[in-house]
Amino acid sequence: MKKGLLLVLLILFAVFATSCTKPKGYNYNFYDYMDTFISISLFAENDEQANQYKSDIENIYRKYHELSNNYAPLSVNSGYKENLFSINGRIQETIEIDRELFELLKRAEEIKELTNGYFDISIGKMVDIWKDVILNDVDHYMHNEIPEAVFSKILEDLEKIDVVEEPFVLTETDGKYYIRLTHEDVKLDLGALSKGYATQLVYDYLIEEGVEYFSITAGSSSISVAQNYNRNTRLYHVSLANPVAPTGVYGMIYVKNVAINTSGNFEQYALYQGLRYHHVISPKTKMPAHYYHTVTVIGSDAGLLDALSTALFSMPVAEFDSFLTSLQATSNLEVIRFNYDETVTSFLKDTVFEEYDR
Amino acid sequence: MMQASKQKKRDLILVGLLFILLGGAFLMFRLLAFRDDAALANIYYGTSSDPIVTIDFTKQKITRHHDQSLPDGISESYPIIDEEQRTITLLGDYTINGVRQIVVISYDYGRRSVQIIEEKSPNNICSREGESTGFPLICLPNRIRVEFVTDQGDFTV
Repeated sequence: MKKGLLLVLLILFAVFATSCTKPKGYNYNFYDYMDTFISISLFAENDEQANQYKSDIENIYRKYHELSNNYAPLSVNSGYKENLFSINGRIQETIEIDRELFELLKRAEEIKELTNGYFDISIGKMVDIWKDVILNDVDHYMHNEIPEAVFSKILEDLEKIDVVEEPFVLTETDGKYYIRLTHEDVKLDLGALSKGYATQLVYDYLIEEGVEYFSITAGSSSISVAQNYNRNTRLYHVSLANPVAPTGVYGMIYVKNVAINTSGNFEQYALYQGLRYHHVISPKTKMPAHYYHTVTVIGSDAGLLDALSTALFSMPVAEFDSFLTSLQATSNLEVIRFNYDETVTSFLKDTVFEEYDR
Repeated sequence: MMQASKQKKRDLILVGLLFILLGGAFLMFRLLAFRDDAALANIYYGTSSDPIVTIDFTKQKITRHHDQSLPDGISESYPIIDEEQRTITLLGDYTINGVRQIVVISYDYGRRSVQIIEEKSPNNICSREGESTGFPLICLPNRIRVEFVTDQGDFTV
């Protein structure tokens, strides 16, 4: 019996020791892609495996950063044919592009159709007009009131630019991929899609590699999570920033295996007559909308969510509600909306949302 | 015979107790190891995940973990911690005429907040973000960031 007891104790010890063994955690940070700070936490068996993950992840972000960059040419040894910077401005010219950029642009077109035109990557010139004012380094309009004369000038400049119904044409011939811009007012800007699109590719890559526990934050508005190793529930606790009291939060969601994306007006904006003017521009009005302070979208495709949160942000309430109801019938999409009147509306299915007293 | 049975019973009780003890210890370990942390703010430079400085709002204490790694030719050592002015100064990566620019971070124990009060970059995004008690402050071209460890959750969107 003494031998038996010893054996039982040894088994118990082994079980206890094994249950306490923690896979090694790794954290990788990138400053150089998508004009944002990207941070990835993951668990791996060993350093070699983790380094391989890091290298593959960085390659994905680097690729889509290069291809979707619309303010700098391709780097000398990029190996790619064109990027948005080299495409923009070449009107009616048929330009050969890489398959990856072709697929990204095709996805943008699909989402434009899905959102009835509320997501439109061709309005870069309008976005630039607003950004130039909001980020003005001389007069410092950010978070401050724009003078009436400046506001009038914005409207005047916007008046001169058309929103083009078919801004570009994509074609595929003999395994080669082409784009043609159709109008001089078209400037492609993938800022509301490429980051999420690349993040989803990273997410899919890690899942394919069998990584169960990881999180990806791409900027302050976009998060993709698998399972949380550090909690028994495997859930991540994600706070929702209060857009009218930027140092606080208005609620918490509990999630795993999802992407989350927020579009909001609370980080970079200027004021005019008390309303916030930000750089999420409605293709319908050429103006920033004032229906909501933030729109947070939860789902399974970070690229789609990136674009959808942008599109939903510009939709009037009735259109938003009906669009979302129809979309929710066929997808797992969920939304939490912080309205302009500071009320909160949620369209949830499985996600637990705890709203705080404010 | 009777003694053997008594011995067996004692062994069973012992095994049961050990089971409870080990189970309890394991539960305590899980609970203590992974509970939410107290409110801290960590300051990082570059792609490193090791903080250079930690601000502990609860203990009202600044911990300097290590010097900022800088190339030869820069004589001053960073970070510069001024506990009187409640500021922490690091050297950013953004250069003007080849000279790297400083990033000055202020902290407030009472408000449990951090703010970038001085930095040079094309749009001064991070110094315009204002005071934060939870939202990370990222100075992209300077490659300096402040991240909070709070009970508000793992991330904020």
